[in-house]
Formats: sequence, structure tokens, C-alpha cells
Amino acid sequence: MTGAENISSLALAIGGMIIGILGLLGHDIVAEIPWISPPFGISIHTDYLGSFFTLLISIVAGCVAIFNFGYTKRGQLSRTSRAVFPIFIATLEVIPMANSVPTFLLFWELMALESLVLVLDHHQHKSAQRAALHYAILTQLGFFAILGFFVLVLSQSHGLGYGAAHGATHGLGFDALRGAAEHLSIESRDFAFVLALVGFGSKAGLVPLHAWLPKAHPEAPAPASALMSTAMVTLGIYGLVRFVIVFFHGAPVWWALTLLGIGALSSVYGVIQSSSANDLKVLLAYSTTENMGLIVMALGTELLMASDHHNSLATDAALAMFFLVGSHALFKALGFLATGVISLETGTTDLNKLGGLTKVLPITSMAFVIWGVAASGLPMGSAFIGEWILLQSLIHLGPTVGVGALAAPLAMGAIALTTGVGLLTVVKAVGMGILGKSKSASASLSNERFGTMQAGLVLLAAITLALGLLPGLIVFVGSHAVNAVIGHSSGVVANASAEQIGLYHLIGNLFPIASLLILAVIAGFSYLAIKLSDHKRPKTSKVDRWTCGARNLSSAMPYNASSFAEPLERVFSDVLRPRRDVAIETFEASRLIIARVELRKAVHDSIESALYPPVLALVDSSARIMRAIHNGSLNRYLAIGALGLVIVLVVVH
Amino acid sequence: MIYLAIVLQIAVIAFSAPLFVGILVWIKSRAEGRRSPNILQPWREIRKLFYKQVLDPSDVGIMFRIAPLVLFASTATTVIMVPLLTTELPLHTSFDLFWLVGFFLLGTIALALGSLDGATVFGGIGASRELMVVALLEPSMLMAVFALSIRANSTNLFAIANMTLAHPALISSPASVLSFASLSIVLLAESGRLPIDNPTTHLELTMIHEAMTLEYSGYRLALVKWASAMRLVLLLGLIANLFVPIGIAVTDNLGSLALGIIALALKISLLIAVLGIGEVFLAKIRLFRVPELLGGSFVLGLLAVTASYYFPGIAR
Repeated sequence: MTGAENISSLALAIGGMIIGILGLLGHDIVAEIPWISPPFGISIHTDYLGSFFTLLISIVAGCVAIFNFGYTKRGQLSRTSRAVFPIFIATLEVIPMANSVPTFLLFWELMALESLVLVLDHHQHKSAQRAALHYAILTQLGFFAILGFFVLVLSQSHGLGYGAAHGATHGLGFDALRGAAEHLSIESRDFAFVLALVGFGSKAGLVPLHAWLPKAHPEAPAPASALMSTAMVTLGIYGLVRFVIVFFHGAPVWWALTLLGIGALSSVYGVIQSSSANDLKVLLAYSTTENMGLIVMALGTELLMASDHHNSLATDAALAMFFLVGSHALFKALGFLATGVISLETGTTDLNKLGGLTKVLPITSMAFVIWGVAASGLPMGSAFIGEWILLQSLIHLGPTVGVGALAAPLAMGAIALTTGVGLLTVVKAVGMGILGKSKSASASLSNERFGTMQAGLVLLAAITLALGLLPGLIVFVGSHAVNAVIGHSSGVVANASAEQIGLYHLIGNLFPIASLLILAVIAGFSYLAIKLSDHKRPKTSKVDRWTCGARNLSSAMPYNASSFAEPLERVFSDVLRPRRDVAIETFEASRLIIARVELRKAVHDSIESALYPPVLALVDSSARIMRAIHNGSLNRYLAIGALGLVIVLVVVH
Repeated sequence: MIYLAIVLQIAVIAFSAPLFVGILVWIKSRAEGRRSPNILQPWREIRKLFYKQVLDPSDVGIMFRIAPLVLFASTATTVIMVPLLTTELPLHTSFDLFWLVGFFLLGTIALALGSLDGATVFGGIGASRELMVVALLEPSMLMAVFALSIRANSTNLFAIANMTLAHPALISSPASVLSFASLSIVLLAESGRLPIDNPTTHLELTMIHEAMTLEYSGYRLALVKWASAMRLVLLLGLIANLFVPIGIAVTDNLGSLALGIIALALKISLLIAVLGIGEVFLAKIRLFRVPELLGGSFVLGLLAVTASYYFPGIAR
């Protein structure tokens, strides 16, 4: 039966929304299911923090599921991918509810496996295989780090009596974990922090563990990218929040500074790479790194403020974190789904070939523009509000903190640079991708009709817009989750009605709709003035564009996406290291007369090329040693097994 | 009655802006020893363009058509976010400096997208350069905002102006002076003046802002020109009243509003004179040296922030 997988996806999403809303209202669900995956069973608890993430993931998943009805009808997903989709959605929704280490790890691994299947949708392509391999390696390394984190923390729980008290979870519940975390020595605590940062940071795509993002997304189908780049990376952030911020109280200042530093690096590096990408999906993938960087900066700010007992500022930073997480998930899913339609209709995601889509794909173009407003950090977009709250937290630090006096302005500079370059990126994507004259890829398109794909886009676009225009909504949704993060329940997070948001230690609010209304009134009056005087001016006439007198520009001559980003690329050439090859052919008669010039230019990921080859070489050489040991001789394997047993016995006693 | 102040403020800025541009041209010409066009010339140009025939590039998109309107309306909207005539403007708690900066960018982005939709090479060049400047401008702009907000412990412009009114000693504090210097560079870049951009240039290859408007004609060009005049005057008024808010009305009765208008006109005229005479001695710098200038502005902003930490100017 066709469509069954989409119906079940939708049902799962709606179920997730209900559970999330119930959880946020305080009706939490606690469940122990011992018969699934014995001996530990499944342990579930939908608390405020987890419910926020479950709700967010379900909203995105619901829109993606609606989109998928039309997308699969066009024969886009392979049978395997279609089967995996609902399971993937269910897994994503359950992870924030997990309440014990085995449950969490089980679903975490399932998530990695299912997303790997989705990346391999076009498994016959060489590039897809490479991307999948890259992704698999990084995600497994991340998993080892997370496993190490749990083992390290739990190693302290024995002898504290948690094992007996928690029945079915065998002392592996999160309560036991939290109790154990408080008894860690300073050194192991710091080590645990590093492990968690590596493990969850690789899932969130933070620099330098971001390399899988721009490789996996161009290969995965659009709805899969939409889920991976929103729900899955967001769970990396969830891991950091739950296991670093909530578990360890009184974190040292260097944790905060590390988070701020990694966040700033990720956001600035991500946005610079994003601005120079010419493939729409790569651009969106790097922008995920950018946004995750901003979110981690918010986490760092929260720790910095909390470490100096600026409780209200820590609350602001936590609120900013939730807002950024929410707005990013919504607008990024919107961006990927719109890209999915564009790629389906035109057959390409190359910005140099796109353009002129507003007339043929009006709905998708509108959705893409809304993505642009939301993602660019312009007023009335949702990213602006999140950054505004974060900046307010940084600004109000005041002159008392020693290290903060420099950290706060520098963090602010990083956020500002990210926003600035982000603007250029969005203008490039919108201006080159959908505006302008139609080029080869869009010349023969027929007009877009409203189908389920468009319905998914419109729904997501409406939610994204609402978040930017009614910023107070987040306070209603997220205030309990914020209190869960900062560890005390002051009750008041911020003063807000739905249409206004203000922080309660602040003079003045933010009231987006007021500005929008005034803008609309002024624009309306101006339009009226123009229309009323229309009879006084001659009729509009069509003319050719100004080309300095040249006729018949070839298709290579208009300004394209590469040329658009070139000035900034030059400014950041130390980071991007663009490779330029110029080949000049001359006529034989005279070397001064040029027959042909060829310019090749490529930007590459300098962090990736500096960091990954040595690691890969190490893995490769250790694999070679392993191969030498694995010669198929049973005697040798038995010997190794015996040796291992002896080592274990010696260590244990 | 109370909303009259909003309308009055928009009207004052909108109708005086082309006049101030005329004065700027006059001062510049006199300083260079040339004869100057009439001070009303920018007004006459806007009026002429408004009634002129519109020439559209063939099959141009919707963004090209609405961009000038969005630019004009968003610039006019920013006027009500700034304490220009009075600190008692309605809705003054609904906006702050970040929002103002963002709203400025909204107009810039609209024009950039419009010029890209026009699909000419010059539109692309202009938009690309303008956004490069914007991207690098953003950090110094927000750093100056940061420095200014420390004194009032708020980013609300009206709160900052009131604080400075209450403590006039703040006008000459080190943080003020440093952030004034930083913000001045931001102002030059934001309003497209020398040495970053030359609004009077006729050479396409060196244009930034003007290159984006090459395809516009008729009332659309009039709107763009009017908006950029308003933006210049608004930015000058903003700088004047953030640092020296003296003379601004603190009530909304008509007498003090009139006084506010006179004070504002004097302050803007003074700044226009400085700008006009200053530009005589400046040449446009190369595009790829703009980042250095903006980097300098960022450092000044950073110094202003640290200065306001260590020398707050008033006892806390």
C-alpha cells in the first residue's frame, strides 16, 4: 500500500506533539518497560527539558511527513528509505524521553543507523558511499566518546547505594547518573566534560567535528536532510544540555570559556564556509554548523553567568538557547524542504544554474524567502529574537566579572560577524537561487500547483513566521524547560505577552508587530500616492538592461553566485584558502594574443584538510597492524582471548 | 495627540532630508571653490523623477518592483525608533538599538535583492560589495551599541538619551569619545559616504550603492534617492542625540517640540558642515582596504566597552 509509511510518520508526529505538550504542561509520563531489550529494559520519563525537544522534533517531523506524501508520489525515495522514515521519526522523538543510560544509548545508536540508511538513499553513487563512510566513522567516534562519558560517570556510582534503589534500571537511570556526577573528582569531572563535548559536539556538527555535515546533506534526500539537520543535530545540543549543564552544578569558568570559544569558532567558520558554497545544500549544511555554534555560545554564556551568580542573566542565556534551537529547527527544515522542491523541479541545487523561479514556483519561492528572513537575523525573523536575547545577556554582564570583561565583548563580536556574513549568505542564496532571470535549469518549467509538498512548506513557513512575529510564545512554551536548565524555579523567565518579549531586568521590550504595522502603513500610503499620481506620468515602457553598450551577453557573463561571494572570499582568504588555477592558451603566431583563458577556482574546508588526513592515516595504519594479527589462525585467536582474560583478571583484583 | 509626535518626527525628517543633502552639496562646492547648485536641487530632482516615465528592464521580477517601496517605508519606520525631537515618543519601549540596526539592514537587503532581481551585472556588483561592507560593519556597529548601552544598562535609545540628559558629565567620558569615533566610521559606511563609497561617482566600476540603483528609474529612483537622504540625516540625528541629547523635548507639548526641532536642525547642520568640509580632504579608498578601516572602528568600539567598564563616568 502506498502512503502507509507517510500516514504512520504523521501519526507518530502527532503522537509526539501530544506527549510533548502534556510534558510541558506538567503531566509527565513515567514508564518502565522491562521486556523490550532485556536485561535493562526501557525507561521513559517525559520531563520539561525532554518534552521541549520532543515537541519541537514532532512539529518538524509532522511537516516533513506531510511534505513526504507529495515527495514519494513523485517516486523520490527508495523503498528502504521510505520504510526507515517513520522509525527514524519515532527514534528521534524517544531520545529526549529516555531516562536511563541503556535506553538512551540504544536509541542513540538506532538514530545513527537509520540516518546512515537515509544518507545512502542513492547508494549506487560513489559520492554517497564516501559521504556515508565519513558520516559513519564520525558518528561512531562520537558514540565512543559518549559511551566513555557514561562509563566514567557511572564508575563513581558503585558503593553509593544507587544500584539497589532503582530496581529495573539496575542503577543506570539518569537519577543515579546525576547523583554519581556530584561525587566525581575534579579531574574526572573535567575529563567527562571533554568526552561529552566531543561526543555530542560531533553530532551537533561543531567545528572541528563538522566535516560530515556538508558531505552527507547533498547526498541525502531533502526530507531526510530536513530531519537530520534539525532534529538530529538538535539532539546533540540536547545531550550537552542534559549531561553537562544540568548534571554538573557549579561548573568551572573554563568550561564556559571553552563552550564560548568552540561556539564562536563554529559559528564564524561555519558562516564563512556557507557564504562561499555554491551548492544550496552545502550552504544549508554549513549554516547548520553556524547555528549550532551560536547555540553553544548561548550555553557557554549561561555557564559564565551562572558561575558568577548572575542568575537573571543565566536565565536569559538559557532562554536564548531554547529560542535559537527552536527557530533553527523550524527555518532549517523549511530551507531544506524548499530546496527539495527546487531540486526536484529543476534537477539541480547549483546556485550558478538556478534563478528566475519566482514566476514558475511562486509558493516554494515564498517559502524560501521566509527561510531567508528567518535565517538571516533580520528583524521580524526568528533568529533575530534569539540573538537579541543572547546579546542582552552578554551586554548586561556589567563591569564586575574579571574574565567576562573581555569574553563578553568578544563573544558579541563573533555573533555580530556571524550575523553580518549570514546576511550575505542569505542574499546570495535568495538572489541567485530564485530571483533574477531564468537560466537553463528553470527555462522549461511549468507552473507550480498546490499539492501536499506545498502544504508542508506553507505550514512550516507559517510556524516560522509566527515565531519571529510573536516572540513571546517561546516563553509560554519554554519557561519550565529554562528553569530545568538553570536549576532553580524562579517562575518568571521573562515578561512577555505573545506579541512582545522583554527580559525582566530590562528597560524596554521588543514588539515586532508594531514595527511591521507602521511599515505597512507607510508603504501603503506611499503606494497610494504613486497610484493616485499615475495619470500624470507617461506609461511604463520596457527597455533593455544597461550593459555598457554590449549586445548579446553570453550565459557565462551575468553575475553569478561565485562572483557574488568573491569579495568576501578575498577578505577571508586566510580561512578559505581558495585555490586558483589560471590556464592561458595563446595563438601560435604570437604569444601576446590570447586564444582561451580558463579559470578554475575551488574553496575547500581548511580545518578538515588540516586535521583529518593525519587521523585517517593513523586509523589506516592501525588497521594494517590489526590485519596482520587477524590471519585466520584459530590458535592465535584463542591465545589473544586468554591473554585478554588474564589482563582483565589482573586488573580487577 | 500623543501620536502626533510620531507623525511630526517622520514628516520633519522626510521633508528636511533632501534639504540637508542640498546644504551638504553647497558646503562641499564652496569649500572646493566651485559654484554650487541651488540648495533645493535634491528636492527638485526627487519631484522631477517622481513624475517621470518608468523604464522597466524586460521580464523583471516582483522583488525588483517592490524593493524601493520597502526601502523607503523601512527607512521612514526607523525614524520613529530614534529620540530626535522628544524622548516621550509613543511606543518608545518597543524598540531598541539592535532593532534599529536590524531595520536599517532590512532596507539595505531589500535594495540588494531588488538589484539582483533586476539581473544586471552592475546590480550584482553593487549588491555583492554592499553586503561585504555590511558583513564587516556589523561587529563594529554592535560594539558601539554595547559601549553606549553600558551607561544606561539598557539598549533602549530613549533610556540612553535620558541617562545622558540626567548626567551631562557622560558627554565627555572616555567611553563616549571612543564610541563616538567608532560610530562615526560606521555612519560613513552605512550612509555610503567617502571614503567608503562615493555617492556622486559616475564610474560604474567603483560604485557600491549607486551600482545597485542603475536599473531604477522614475518614481522608483525617486524613492531610493529620498530614502538614502533620509538615512543620512537620520544617522546624523541619531549620533547627535545619543551623545549630546541637549535641547531634546522631554515632554510632548508643542513649545518644547518646536525647541526640539530647532536644536535638532542646529546639530544636524553642524554635523553636515563637518562632513562636507571633511569630504573635501578625502578620497575613496580601495574596496579591499575597507576591512582595515572597519577593523579600526571595531577596535575603537572594544576600547570604548572596556573604558566604560573601568571609567564609568558616573558613580554606580
